[in-house]
Amino acid sequence: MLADIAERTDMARCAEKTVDWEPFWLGPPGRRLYASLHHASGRARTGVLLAPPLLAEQPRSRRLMFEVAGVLAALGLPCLRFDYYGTGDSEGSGEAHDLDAMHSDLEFAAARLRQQMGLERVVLMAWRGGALVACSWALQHAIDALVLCDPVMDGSAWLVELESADRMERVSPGRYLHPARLGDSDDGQLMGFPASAEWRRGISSLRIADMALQACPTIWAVLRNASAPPAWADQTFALPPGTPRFDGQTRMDATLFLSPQLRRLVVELGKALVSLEP
Amino acid sequence: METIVRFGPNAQLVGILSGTELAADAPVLVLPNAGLVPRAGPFRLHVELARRLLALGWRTFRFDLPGVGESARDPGFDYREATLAALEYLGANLSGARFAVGGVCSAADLGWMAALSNERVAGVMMLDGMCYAGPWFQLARFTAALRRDPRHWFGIARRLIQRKRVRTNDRPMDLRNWPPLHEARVQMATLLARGVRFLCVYTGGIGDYFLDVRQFGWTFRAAASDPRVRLHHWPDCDHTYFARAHRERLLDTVITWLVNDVSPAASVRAQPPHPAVARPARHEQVT
Repeated sequence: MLADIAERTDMARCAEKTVDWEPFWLGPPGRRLYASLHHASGRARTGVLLAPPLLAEQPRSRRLMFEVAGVLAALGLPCLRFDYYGTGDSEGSGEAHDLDAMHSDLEFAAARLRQQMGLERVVLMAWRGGALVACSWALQHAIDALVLCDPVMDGSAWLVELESADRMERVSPGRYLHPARLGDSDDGQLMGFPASAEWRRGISSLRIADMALQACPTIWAVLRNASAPPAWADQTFALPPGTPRFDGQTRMDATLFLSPQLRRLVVELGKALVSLEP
Repeated sequence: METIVRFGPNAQLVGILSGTELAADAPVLVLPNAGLVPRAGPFRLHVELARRLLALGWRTFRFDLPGVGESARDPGFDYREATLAALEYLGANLSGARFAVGGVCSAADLGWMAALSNERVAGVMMLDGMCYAGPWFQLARFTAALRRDPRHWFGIARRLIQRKRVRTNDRPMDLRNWPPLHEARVQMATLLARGVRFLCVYTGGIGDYFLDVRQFGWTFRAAASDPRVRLHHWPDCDHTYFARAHRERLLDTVITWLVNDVSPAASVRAQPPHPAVARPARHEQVT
């Protein structure tokens, strides 16, 4: 266990030291997104735009996204991360965070990545609920490849799961000394974050299987169970066994880190993306 | 308007400073991470605080500690040094500004430490911060156990005895690196003598070390009833304020404290201490 942690620390440290990154505001005043660009050494032709998970999974995976971006940049793939409008350090209130807003965020971010780095190709790597958003955005926008990591396949089913988890959380004896006293589930929140009717409507209208084939000529899936690859995936990668679930822990401080096994997968993905360059 | 700031040795730490349009001497609420939660705070609490405080002339500075969020994992300095680096950066760039420091859990402990190390810290925000177990905690555990099915009593008694053997210093949270009780009392008295204000909120999410508000009086003795100390016990809330209504209550309480107690123009109003700590000497008799 301790050796595992030490190895993880060393690898992450290497990733941090080999590349530099630069935080900045993205978008016009009043609608600025917090973003960070991880620079690659040398002349890059392909860049990666990271679309993070949604709601409570987003802050939990912030460290993971940071570490993944560092590894990809070290492989020569500049990487842009961002917080959706109304989330994280970005401007806006959580109530304004909906599907349309997320589509605008992707547009700003993809344009900035292309312009700033003079890239020929942009890959959109989207995680969990972010995969639904990325797929729907890619239906209208040219992107060179989509990589969907542990994607939420069906927005409608996911929303039902989230609402059920939220109800349980509000009366959880693990969270509350007197859980029976709490019961206000009509506050517009989902797992502690605002989720407007517009957000719920937008997410529940999306299914990966309905969109993927039209979304992008190259689409990869990174799945927990890769034994039955989906028909829409050109290539499938398997998450290492034991990879923590994004939705598996409701505590805010249950942060996800890049394990050595997951790092190996990210390296494999990065090399495969580089090999796609004509 | 918010500004991204890189600071600390080799600019390895990252934070967000709000209120760039305010005067240089506007007070600043400094918010280190609450545990491993990124700097936006639990359920974005720090962002919400920043926006509301801006309208009242307060800046906030939220930042990631080493290895948390976006900061380097092993930059060669620890959480304490990172927090002091944040204060050093703010002190150098905002002449005359006074600070309040703290937050939830470990951030509360960093606020305490920062106040001891930097004289410009005028307020410490302790949300589920330091408090020692003592007899009131044990009594609360005992009475809670009695309320359970008698079939569980033997197992509960055995666990209590085992823990009592391990725990000899009334410090249930050894992971949080609190000073010994007598030192904590001296430190509190020192800070109060300097005029530092305290906001101390204890929730129901820390049942492993806080169950009875009288623990506060037992821990800090006379200092607990000092008018510069605001004490709240919210057993209905969880540790990270999951429910929106709880976050709203916390935001109101923090903002009221900052404006009324910590702002440069504030004078501590005569307000009775929390009823449970109004007569700390009485609690001392219990020890």
